[in-house]
Amino acid sequence: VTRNILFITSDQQRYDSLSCTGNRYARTPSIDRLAAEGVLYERAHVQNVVCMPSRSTMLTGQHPQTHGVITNGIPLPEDAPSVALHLRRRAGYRTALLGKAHFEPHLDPTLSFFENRCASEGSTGPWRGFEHVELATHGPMGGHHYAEWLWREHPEDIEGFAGVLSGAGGGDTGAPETTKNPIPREHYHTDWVAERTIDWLSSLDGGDPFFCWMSFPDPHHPFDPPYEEVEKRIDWRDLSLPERHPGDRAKIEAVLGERPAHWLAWYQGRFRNPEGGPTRFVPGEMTHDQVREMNAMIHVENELIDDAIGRVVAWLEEKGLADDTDIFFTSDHGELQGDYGLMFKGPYHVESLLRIPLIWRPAKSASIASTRLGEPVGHVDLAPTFCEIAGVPIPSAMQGKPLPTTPGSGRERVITTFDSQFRSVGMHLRTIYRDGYLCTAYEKRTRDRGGRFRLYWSIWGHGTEVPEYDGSEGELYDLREDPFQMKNLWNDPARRRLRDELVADLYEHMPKAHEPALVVEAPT
Amino acid sequence: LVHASGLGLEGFGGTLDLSDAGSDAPSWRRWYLLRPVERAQTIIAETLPKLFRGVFLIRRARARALTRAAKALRLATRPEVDTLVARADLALGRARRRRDEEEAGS
Repeated sequence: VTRNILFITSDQQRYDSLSCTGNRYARTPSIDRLAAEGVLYERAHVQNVVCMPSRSTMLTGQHPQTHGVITNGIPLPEDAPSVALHLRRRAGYRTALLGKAHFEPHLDPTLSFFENRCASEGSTGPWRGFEHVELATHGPMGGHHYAEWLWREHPEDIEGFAGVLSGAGGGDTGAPETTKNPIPREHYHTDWVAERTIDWLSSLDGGDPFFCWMSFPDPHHPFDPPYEEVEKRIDWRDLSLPERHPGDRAKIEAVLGERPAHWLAWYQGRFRNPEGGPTRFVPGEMTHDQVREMNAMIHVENELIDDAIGRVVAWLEEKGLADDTDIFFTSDHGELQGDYGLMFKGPYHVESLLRIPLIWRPAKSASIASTRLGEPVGHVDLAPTFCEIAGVPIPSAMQGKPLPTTPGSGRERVITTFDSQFRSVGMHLRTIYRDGYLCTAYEKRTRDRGGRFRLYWSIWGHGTEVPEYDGSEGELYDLREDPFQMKNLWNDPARRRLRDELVADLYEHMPKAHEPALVVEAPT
Repeated sequence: LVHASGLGLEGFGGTLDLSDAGSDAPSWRRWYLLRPVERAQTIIAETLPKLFRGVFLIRRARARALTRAAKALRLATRPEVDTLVARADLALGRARRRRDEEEAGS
């Protein structure tokens, strides 16, 4: 039986953001149902904690080091492997991407990258193996199809969005990148993505299988969901602080002080973190109420995504396609959401950012029993899984393996890397999860890799202090004893041997690097 | 030197040199002298969407003009060529799938 693939992604949604993964505030019945009927991977890690490398890994089945997009700002080469193209050429799959792509930099005022200008040229693909694309990002910016639609059909809604990376305060508490967006939900990008997905699926004649990537731009900041939905669903005052929030400033500084220097430096405003959030944002100035308000907004954004998924799945059921469709749900990376007194993302390798929801609701014909698996898996495994479902050979260039569906797959580790996009930052983190430990080695700071961007850096990096790592720093957490990663064991003499073994294993399995290194062409 | 907190510059931290501005300087002058980075960030945030939109409209006009010209000259446009290639890929994939299914069946 030929199987369809519906690949659903969100942006910046952490593992524990769903009801089925233990969140007590989340109302996510549609995703919970997929998990109950399929396989929920409890130890799924990203291969990179920012968008472009992570999304490129999903498309190529390669680690960031290998496809070369090791940071935001590097366009994925046109000739990079594409699982969509492979499925089309090898098995005649109809292919589409609806929503956020981000294989090419978005800070592109002259629209030099096709991703940003294709809507202006009246194009809906083909592009990177997708015969049909309709693209969106976090609001009405850029030249994406959603922005064009909104400017054309609903210009009155343009001003309601908050600016991405502006860091401007709003809402009830002055929370960064938070605003009460008056847009009706049917004009918001979440519903638009679901609508475009259903329209494209409706256009198929039914003869060929499809691979459809439905990619929601939320819950990535800015936090500006339709405010009428916020009012209906949640009051931020009812939320408590996250479990991983240490409490007052002294406790936060005590936890961060045990980690490599840029953790505490960011909190105190000495390090700007231009690679993970608005540069004007200083975590130490964030109030508890601001954390709660932003998290309430994120809950609403997650619920709207869940509603949208429910609509699309209901449509598949109505058309009799659901039983023959494998449905995947994941996110490109997590979000700190107030953990350790921090927000957004960046060079911070803890579960908040590394661990993501990954759910596979297989087609009925696959006869895969529903289960929860603790095997370490990653985004790099998605493309090979799609190939296996389609019954096509897995290209040797793909580095992952098809996702396991039963325990005992023998998987031992999952690797994540971070490399700075700015030459002036020059941070390089290498992380392994193995045997219940999360271990991150910091490489020596570099000054000759990454983009220069003098104009941007003079603004974004103004006054920043960048730690001069010498390659001896790191983090080690025992997730069984310390599931919230509060105690860094890197310098614990009793764990020295364990640490050295994990680092040796990490470098032994480090994926090969793209030669030559690709150029960072834009600041994000 | 004055610490930035309390001056509405909480987003910046650190210290600022106030010697040029003076406490009696007009507000616009204080804004220019004391908050150049914040000003630049604000201007960029406000300008970028408009810049994007302007370039979008120019690109759209150019693409439409090129399409009109190509049609007038009876030339295929790039999207038309790309679509033909995509259809060829799809046809090839269908043929391969049928072959694989037949081989699996036999």
